[in-house]
Amino acid sequence: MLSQAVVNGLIAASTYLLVALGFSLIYTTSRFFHFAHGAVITLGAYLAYSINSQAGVPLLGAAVISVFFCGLLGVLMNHVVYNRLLRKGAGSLVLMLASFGIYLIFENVTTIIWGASTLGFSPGLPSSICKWHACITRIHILTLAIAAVSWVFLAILFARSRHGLLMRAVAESRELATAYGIKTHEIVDASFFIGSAFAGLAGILMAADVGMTPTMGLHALMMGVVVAIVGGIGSLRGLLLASLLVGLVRHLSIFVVGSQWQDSIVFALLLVVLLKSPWGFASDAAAQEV
Amino acid sequence: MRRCAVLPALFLIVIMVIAGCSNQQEQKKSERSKATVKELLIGAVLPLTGDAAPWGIPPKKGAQLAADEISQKGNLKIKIDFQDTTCQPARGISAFRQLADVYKIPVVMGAVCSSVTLAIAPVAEKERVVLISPASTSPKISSAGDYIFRVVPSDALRGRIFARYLFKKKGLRKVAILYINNEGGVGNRDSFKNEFTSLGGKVVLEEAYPPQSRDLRAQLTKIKNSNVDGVIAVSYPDDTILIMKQAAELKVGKPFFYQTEAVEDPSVLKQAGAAANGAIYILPAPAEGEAARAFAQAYEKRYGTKPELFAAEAYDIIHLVVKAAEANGGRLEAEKVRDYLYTVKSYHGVSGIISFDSNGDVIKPMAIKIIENGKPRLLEIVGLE
Amino acid sequence: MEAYFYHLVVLGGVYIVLTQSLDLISGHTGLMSIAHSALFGIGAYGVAIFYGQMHYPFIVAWLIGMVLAGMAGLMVGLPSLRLRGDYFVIATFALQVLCFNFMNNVSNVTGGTLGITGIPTPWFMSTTARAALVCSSLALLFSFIKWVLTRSPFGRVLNCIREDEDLVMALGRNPVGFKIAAFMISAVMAAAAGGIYAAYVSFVDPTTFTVMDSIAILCAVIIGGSGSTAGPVFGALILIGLPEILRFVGLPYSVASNVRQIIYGMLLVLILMFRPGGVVGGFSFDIREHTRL
Repeated sequence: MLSQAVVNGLIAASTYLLVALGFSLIYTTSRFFHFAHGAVITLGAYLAYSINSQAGVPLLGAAVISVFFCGLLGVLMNHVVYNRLLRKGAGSLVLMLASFGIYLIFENVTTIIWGASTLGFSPGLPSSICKWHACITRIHILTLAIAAVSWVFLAILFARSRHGLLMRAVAESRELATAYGIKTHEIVDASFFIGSAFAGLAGILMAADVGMTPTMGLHALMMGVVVAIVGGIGSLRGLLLASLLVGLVRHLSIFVVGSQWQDSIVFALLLVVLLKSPWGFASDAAAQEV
Repeated sequence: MRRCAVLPALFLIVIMVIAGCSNQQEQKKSERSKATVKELLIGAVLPLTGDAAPWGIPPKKGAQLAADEISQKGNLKIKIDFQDTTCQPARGISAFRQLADVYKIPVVMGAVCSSVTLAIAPVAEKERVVLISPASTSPKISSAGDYIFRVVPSDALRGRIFARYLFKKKGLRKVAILYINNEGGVGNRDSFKNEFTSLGGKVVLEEAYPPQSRDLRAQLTKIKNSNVDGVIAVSYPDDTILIMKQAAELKVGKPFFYQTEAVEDPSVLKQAGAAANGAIYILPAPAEGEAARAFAQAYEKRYGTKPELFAAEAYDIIHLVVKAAEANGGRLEAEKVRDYLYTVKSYHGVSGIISFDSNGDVIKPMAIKIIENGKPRLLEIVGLE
Repeated sequence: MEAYFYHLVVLGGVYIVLTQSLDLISGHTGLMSIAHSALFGIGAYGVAIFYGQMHYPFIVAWLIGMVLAGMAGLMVGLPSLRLRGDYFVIATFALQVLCFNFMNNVSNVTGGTLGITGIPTPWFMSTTARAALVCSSLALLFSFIKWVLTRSPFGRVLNCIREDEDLVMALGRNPVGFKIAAFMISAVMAAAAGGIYAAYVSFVDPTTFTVMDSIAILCAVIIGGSGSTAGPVFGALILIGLPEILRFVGLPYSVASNVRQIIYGMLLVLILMFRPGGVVGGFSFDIREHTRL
């Protein structure tokens, strides 16, 4: 029983991590909570579904195209809304409110286009592999692998590449980076592209597992935000630890307290972290200033 | 900045003017309806939009079909004014007030969401308007008032019949309940648990999950490792798919019994596919005979789908209301409709055999069904006896 | 026709009190909160439990609800001592979720998901006309109280906290007390609206007090214009009026609720982009944020 619960926790953690990676990547360069990220998650799944079933592209190809479009969508949101707001001197609260608005628009457009009931890539009986009293499906293994690869990719990007260095510079101070001749707009766009692509990827993987609904992105995003804050935004190691913590807490707490408190426990954890050390347990110089 | 004030102000004025115009049109329409003697205007408050819309649109279609069929026969012309509640109590009251106060409609069909029916009930009582719900199943509605009826069985009835059936026929003694943590889920959980424990059975586990959950693996893992004969699930279509698929993945290996009609939802049968096989569930017994077949055919011909949930109930409501009006010389009066409904016994409707008890609750036999090869099959019809 | 109109007046009045009270902290003190519908709910449950179930006089139950909400307001305010800006919003979000789960799950106190039915209507709200009178005068009263408060020395300190908290300290005032007081006053006002709402609808259940409702109230304040007296009134009227107007317009059912939400979303984004002070032109949360970071 315990082995299954731990596996469940790990599977959940991998999707939280994917969402949180994109979310916090965008936060590090643009310094606001981009809630429309949830809409990108949902749209990633639905786009892949339509490209796959309506245009007849094989699922893998459809997923790649959809992830690319999600990246573009993120950049588009940045250009059409956020950049204009920034130019007028908007602060992080205004940008966050605007992202609420964008989320609302996208969720409802999705419902109008695709309907409210569940759609899925692979209807029917899932086949699973069981060992040591724990069962797992191929999609779960794929999700775990992709989450791990994405984390390593970002770690290398940040630590080794020139592009990652520029991102870190922008994260430290946008004004200073501009003063040094860094094209900050391009860097922010890049982070929106990569972050939103991760969101689309997470959406597709979740939909491949349990199907898609227009509200799927919101719940995934909530968990992603909790992970991002508990882990300390901007710290990759923190995100990894926090996603494991939140995933395991969600799946193990049910054996201790009633399942109706599953969400409460996660948000109580968030509250404690916020009050004790707002920058999460893996602190990061840039986040501490908040 | 100052100049910008003009824009939003203009925008609002335009909206208000549009609203005002259409408002007047609506009023003219209702005045006209009063002018012709043989026209009956019935109200309906349903969740036509929002999360609960899948339960609100079929009753609208069913009621409209009934109205058009009766109108075609010639004696009476039936018009239904549909208003949206969005499944929110305060909005529901707005919608109901609009029908009852603005258009003076004496009989209103609705609501679907139990919370909305419960919120409207006191207003209906005070305004003396008959309220007939096609879909609200909360046990609390039984005592909501004299003018409040429903043609869908209370959760209390469903839970009692299901518990007896599973205890006596299926030999279940120890069960787990997996339920959606909202009013419908908790109401069903309680009614099942009360009856099951009074029979001598034991509810070992009660696992809840919030609406719109996308991951029930924690709950199902706990159930897998518990010592139970079966699992009672109270769920909506989206999460029914989740339960079926994730239980199969985790190889839970316990029989699932669904105390919900969600299993028959087309999206469940499609998305869960083979994972749905073997699911046993309870729902109000479908009607048999000529009328029910004719209804199903007419519905499919008009809307292109088989009748969805609660469409037949709404169809029956319109017919019952019209019968009440006919008994009253073609006039629709709230007191007369109310008195008529209390006398209805064994009316063969298209949603089943309808009788009302002294609470205005319908007493209907229930059906136990099973999914085999992706198709529902009737196991048996059970009553309270 | 009148009763329908009065009903809208009741809802409008209740929401004006809600937006005014939220504006006291979000618009005037600069701390955006999305826990406001939880406070509204505490007031509603106070009346439902103490008046509806335990049959205390309405006024007593109403006051109990306000006191409870005041304490809850203290809880919501506490994170503001450590957190600012968007991090504070997230903290209030967590509190809102916890409070909703309490209402939803602790069924022996709150009736759980089934809610509390059959709350008797107090005599002064026995007809919709009376209820409308009560609610509109309540809205007027609280708008006036807020107007007086924000023009008092107390209100000026709040505005000062919004502009620069360090400056307040430098001037020898302790912002902590002022912030907590603002939160408690705001919570008490929201609970007053909640109590009236519960008595009017005669039924409360947790689905009326969700995160989404909190966000809707905040958006109403922003759209109307924060930090002003007329702005929140305007915001509340849009929040209540828009769905009713769309009801008469008669959109196709399959899309109506989605279209409504899309209009809300667009309204919010457009207002932020082109009229950051809201329709009325109040305070706008602009560049100041950045100087803090």
